[in-house]
Amino acid sequence: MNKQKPLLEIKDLHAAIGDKEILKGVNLRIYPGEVHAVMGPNGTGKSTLAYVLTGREGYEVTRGEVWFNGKNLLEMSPDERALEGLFLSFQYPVEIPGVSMTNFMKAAIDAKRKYHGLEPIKPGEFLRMYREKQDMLGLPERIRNRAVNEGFSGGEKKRNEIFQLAMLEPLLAILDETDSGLDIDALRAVAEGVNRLRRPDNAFLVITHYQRLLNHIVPDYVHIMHDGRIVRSGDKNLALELEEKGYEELARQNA
Amino acid sequence: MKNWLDKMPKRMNWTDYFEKAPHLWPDIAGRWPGFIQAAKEKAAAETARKGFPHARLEAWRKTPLNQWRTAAVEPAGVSRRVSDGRLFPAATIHIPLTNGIPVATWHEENSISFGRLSEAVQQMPEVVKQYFGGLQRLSDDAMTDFNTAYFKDGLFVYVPEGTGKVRLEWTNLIDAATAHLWNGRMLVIVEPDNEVEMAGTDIAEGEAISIGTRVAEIFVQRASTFRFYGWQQLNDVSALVGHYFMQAADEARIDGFNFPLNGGLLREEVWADITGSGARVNLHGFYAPAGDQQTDERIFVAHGAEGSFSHQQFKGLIDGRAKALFNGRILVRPGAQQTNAYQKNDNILLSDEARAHSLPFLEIYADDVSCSHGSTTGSLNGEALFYMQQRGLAPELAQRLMLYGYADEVIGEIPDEELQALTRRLVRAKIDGRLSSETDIFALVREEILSPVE
Ligand SMILES: Nc1ncnc2c1ncn2[C@@H]1O[C@H](COP(=O)(O)OP(=O)(O)OP(=O)(O)O)[C@@H](O)[C@H]1O
Ligand SMILES: [Mg+2]
Repeated sequence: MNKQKPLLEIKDLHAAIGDKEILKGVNLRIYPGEVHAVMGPNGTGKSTLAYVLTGREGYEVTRGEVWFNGKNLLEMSPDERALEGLFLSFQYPVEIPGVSMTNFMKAAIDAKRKYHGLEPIKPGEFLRMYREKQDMLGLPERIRNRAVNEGFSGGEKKRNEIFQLAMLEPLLAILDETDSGLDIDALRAVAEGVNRLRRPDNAFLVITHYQRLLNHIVPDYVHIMHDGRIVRSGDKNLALELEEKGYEELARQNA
Repeated sequence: MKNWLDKMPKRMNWTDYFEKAPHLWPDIAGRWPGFIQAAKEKAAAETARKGFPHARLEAWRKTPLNQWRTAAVEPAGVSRRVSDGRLFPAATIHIPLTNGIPVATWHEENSISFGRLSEAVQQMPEVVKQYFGGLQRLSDDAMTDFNTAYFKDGLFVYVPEGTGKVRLEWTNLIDAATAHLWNGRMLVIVEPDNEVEMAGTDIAEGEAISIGTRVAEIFVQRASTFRFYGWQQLNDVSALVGHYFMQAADEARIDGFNFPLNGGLLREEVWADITGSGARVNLHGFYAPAGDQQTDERIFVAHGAEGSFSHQQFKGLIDGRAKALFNGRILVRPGAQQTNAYQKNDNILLSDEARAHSLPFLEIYADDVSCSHGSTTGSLNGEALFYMQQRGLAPELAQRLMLYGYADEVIGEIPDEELQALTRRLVRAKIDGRLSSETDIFALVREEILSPVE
């Protein structure tokens, strides 16, 4: 067992959209250096969990608590959570016409630096870093200086999420189906990028439907979510077992 | 001659000027040579016949004039105030206007002639006679009759064939020290093979009500380009109703940019009459009324020749209890084949009480044409705001970046980079709520020159 303090600790989290309860008691503990995978059928609340953690509007936490890096996450605004080191690679990244990627990233990096009492990044240094990370992820030339996600293909949007992850170097990154819509090369590039960003002090929560991604980003733990709860947890072999048996059978075994 | 002041109260309601036009106009407009005199007489009769625009008229349905209808105003007298403020650094000709009338007298410079219309009728009578009133008949709006009847003088610009590149700027100081009515007039003739850029700022000084009308007639002849930029910075109790009539001949090109900044009512009606084949018209605007302001953009493009192109791009940001109207019309006349005409209007409402009306209107009488229009009205994209917040941006900053980006889609179309930067500075200040009707926009722009923003 890990002796460190957990980076993220979710205790009995319940959350609802309107009258509809979606999360029905989620418990999860993530330590620095770990990779966790969350799998589960459509509509079981995986994205909801990601949104509740990042503070999106429209969700009501009805019970439970969440601690992030020793702080009460649920009391923070979405931008504070990000500044504290929480990052979400969106399942459906949003297009923002008229806002260039460079301006957006510069603003994000400066916001983070300011939060940590640092001066804004020097333009030269920023551009160097910007290019370096784009090269690392093999971002196609045509999307490098466009408006945020505007006119990007589905796969390009996902790559662009990981590029932002590389720029912002969060403590905990949640990847919500970053692998869906990626071709094989892109999948490899994204996975390599993520692996390169792994450090002893950060962690990843990878939401996916496919074992395939987990061949590239090898998880320490795999959790299976069903109807708003984590119903089983195991090591990477659980994903293989799942691939073999499917949710139905696993759920039955669990019951 | 007896002063009109002896015959009537010093101030009257705007509506009264409509009713009394046939009797009043000579006292206010002064003496003019035959053809203009005749035009004024006729317009005065029309003004009285049509009366003050009312809400049942399609053109005024969404523009209540209540506040100004009964405002007691006197005709603008002679003002010695002048503004030397400038927004177009590249302009080599600067023409200060006061209440719509050029301050300086007749000029001839590198074959270009400009000055007061009253001088033009002396200096180049045939030219004025040939063009004056030639386009205005496109509209039957009583406001244009009103303007014709009452205008006291105006700006005349003549660019003869093959002059080449001309960049000029006018700054119209509206003297709003006391409640008044002014009527500006413009006649611009761009002969073939020229490239003329004209920037114009209307700026009101003072707190009183000012009511302004303008009728501009602009002739853009064969293979000439006419590009105009407009900014309006009035106080919040003032109104400006402008009609800009333009004619594009063969292979002519018209590019227009309008940025209403502040004012109680800023209404521009542009008529682009394409009479020549292969002509191109691009009209753009960004408006951001706040508080109780209203902006109206009425854009009529008429295609009357083969193979012409037009594009309308208007975007708005409406806050407070403000209202914005976009009325974009495309008319393709019979025989105007291979017309390409596009129109796009977007509005973002920033408050529950803000209103936007988008009224597109396409009338097509030719079969081989490609026309489209689109309009959107909504609030700020909450998904995008969350996305940006998730990257650590404070909500205010995220909103600001989005709105800057939104406005930049229009501003970015300005070909002159300096003008683009200056306009960006003004529009961003307006978006940030830092540009009120009290702001000195010329000082803001000087800041831009001293320390540019990206
Ligand atoms: N805005 C909403 N209003 C009402 N119900 C919603 C809303 N958003 C999501 N839901 C419901 O919440 C449940 C969980 O959705 P969620 O998106 O978290 O699932 P998911 O596990 O991420 O699914 P997928 O694998 O398809 O991405 C679903 O039943 C969904 O219909
Ligand atoms: Mg999901």
